[in-house]
Amino acid sequence: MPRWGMVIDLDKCTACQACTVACQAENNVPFAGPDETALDRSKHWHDVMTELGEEGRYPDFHVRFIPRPCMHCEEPPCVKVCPVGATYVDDDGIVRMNYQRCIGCRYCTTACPYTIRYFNWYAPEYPAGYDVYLNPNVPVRPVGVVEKCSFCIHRLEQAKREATAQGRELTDADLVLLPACNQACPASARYFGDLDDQESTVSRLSHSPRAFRLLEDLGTEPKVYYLAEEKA
Amino acid sequence: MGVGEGGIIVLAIMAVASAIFLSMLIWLMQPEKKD
Amino acid sequence: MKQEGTTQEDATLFEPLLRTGKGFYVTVAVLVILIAWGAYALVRQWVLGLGVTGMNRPVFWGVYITNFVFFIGLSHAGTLVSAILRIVKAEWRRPFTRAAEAVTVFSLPFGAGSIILDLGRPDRVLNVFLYGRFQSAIMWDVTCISLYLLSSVFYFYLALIPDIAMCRDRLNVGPLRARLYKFLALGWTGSERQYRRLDRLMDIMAVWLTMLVVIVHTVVAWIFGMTIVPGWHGAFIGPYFLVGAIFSGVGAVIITTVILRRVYHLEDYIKPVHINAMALFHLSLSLLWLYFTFVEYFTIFYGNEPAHMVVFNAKFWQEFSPMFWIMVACCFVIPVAILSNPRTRTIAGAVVASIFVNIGMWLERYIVIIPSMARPRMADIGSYMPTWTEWAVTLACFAFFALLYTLFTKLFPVIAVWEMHEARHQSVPEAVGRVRSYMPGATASSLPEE
Repeated sequence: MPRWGMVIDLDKCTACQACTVACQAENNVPFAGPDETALDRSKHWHDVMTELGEEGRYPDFHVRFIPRPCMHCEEPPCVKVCPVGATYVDDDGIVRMNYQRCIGCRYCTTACPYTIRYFNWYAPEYPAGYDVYLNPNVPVRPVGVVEKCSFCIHRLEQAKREATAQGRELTDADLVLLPACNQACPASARYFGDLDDQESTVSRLSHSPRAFRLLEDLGTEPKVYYLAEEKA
Repeated sequence: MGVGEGGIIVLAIMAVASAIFLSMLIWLMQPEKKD
Repeated sequence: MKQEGTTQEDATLFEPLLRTGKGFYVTVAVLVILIAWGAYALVRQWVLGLGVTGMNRPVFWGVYITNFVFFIGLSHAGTLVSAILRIVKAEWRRPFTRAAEAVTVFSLPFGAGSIILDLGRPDRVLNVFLYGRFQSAIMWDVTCISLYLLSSVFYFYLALIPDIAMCRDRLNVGPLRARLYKFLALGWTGSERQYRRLDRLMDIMAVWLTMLVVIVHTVVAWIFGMTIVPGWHGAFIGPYFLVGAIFSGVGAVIITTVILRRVYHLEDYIKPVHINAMALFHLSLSLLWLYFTFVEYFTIFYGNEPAHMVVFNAKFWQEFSPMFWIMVACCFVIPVAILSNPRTRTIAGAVVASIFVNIGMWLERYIVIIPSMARPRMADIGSYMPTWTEWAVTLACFAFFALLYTLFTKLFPVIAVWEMHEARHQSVPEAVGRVRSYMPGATASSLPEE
């Protein structure tokens, strides 16, 4: 069974946010608008975090930008707490959402230490005329349920179907730029693939001495690896 | 434990408790034999 | 002990069932208005979504979850007063038991209800039973609270049966009410055997309920404690919540009993000596609460772990500090000041202290829940301002609780008449005999007669 994971090279990343925008478009993530955003309710399945260093004063301080999808943890705290199994880990290691079953208790959103989960406080809204741009391969979520990054599972399933139809396995080339965020990155800083496939890009890079994961000491076993910047 | 058994367990526990309480009531109100 | 049907004795306790003053109708009207306003707010929330509240990312839980913990805490009052004081044979419990059990029975639905009010999809609440996962602490909660509700209602009912029979036999009421009493009395005759069996059942239920109190509030605490959220995760949260629940519960019993005493002229039954006993108990709980609070925060402070200190600082010096220190004043400084001095430990003083305690304990639940969410490890600092919707629904919960309670006082005596009977005719010689048995000497006959 594949173990899907992601590697993001922080040395190549320019924090242009193309990944965030691509994800928003690909996954029909609703627009919050200025009022709801002011109330801390905007939704970004993918986001870019700004990490200010401890030392230094302008202009000598250090800023680090960290693109942040769902970590698709192997020991997900969110799955543990869901009372109805609306979030679960599938056979390929992707932490999935069942939007029909979710009762909106928000236990998972609270339990996630990366705060990567979002809740639909109102019914989703899109600007006028936007409905023609909605991706038909991704469901539009109703009010009152939780949603989050899915590692573009719909693209993954389509790629699997195409490969099977062509009578072959998925290759590294099929997978590296599979999710919308990876595909949009102009700096080629992002990679996706099977962490258990020793030939794959993600597997090789995840063993790099520059590789680290976020909040590793919590034991969540996240599957998104970052390659630290090399000091100039 | 998989999905789905949770509800059955809750209902089973409640059913057992209800049965115990009901039998307590029956015991309490047992008609006394007239001597 | 055979039931005596004296008509004069305890007539005061049956008065509210027979006569209704203007005050009752005014009270009910006010409560109904508050409930209606809250119902409107709730329907609007169901139609539009939880966006009408102040909750957001990262503060995903707010006033509703605070209310959930608070009402469950209140519900431990009855069990404590009625069950635990029964187990230790504290005779002064008798005027309190029914009023306290009623607090339990009527507050529990609003505890459980507050969770349902907080759901994004209350229309899917049955999923909890169809797809429930016992790995989740929420399922433990559903089980324990359901069991506690069933057991409390049963215990409440058991203790009511002899009085319902008295209502059936003595009271001149309309045909509908007469039928209700007859049905609920289940054919109680008040024979020796029935009283003995009732005594036995209540002993069993008292132990069972005491166990449940410990389990229920620990499991409620574990909703938070079983996550890895800083400020929530830890072994201590279970006992901390348990002590807090008993603390606020006793305050609720004091407030309720004194209101009943005033409204239904029960000065003969609820005397200063009774309130004094409860007040001293309340005082010791305040000191225990302070100990628990100090232990918790000092350990965090000394350990100096970054994620925990961020939450600690938010509570002690930053935007949550006014609420935090008001909580300390309400839960410790003011109650101890009032209750440790015999001159201020009057009935009025006990009520004032209890009001402050309950305000402080609501704040304590808020202080446990919100600051930890407002300091996420990996997102921007959060903030939370409850909206009118949340306050309206909260007020409606309290009003509905009060309404149910008020209606109950019109149907059944608020003081267990048969327990007062038992006290007069049985408990006095029983207590004397017990104390005698503690004294040195082989048999009672070797002791001098009075």
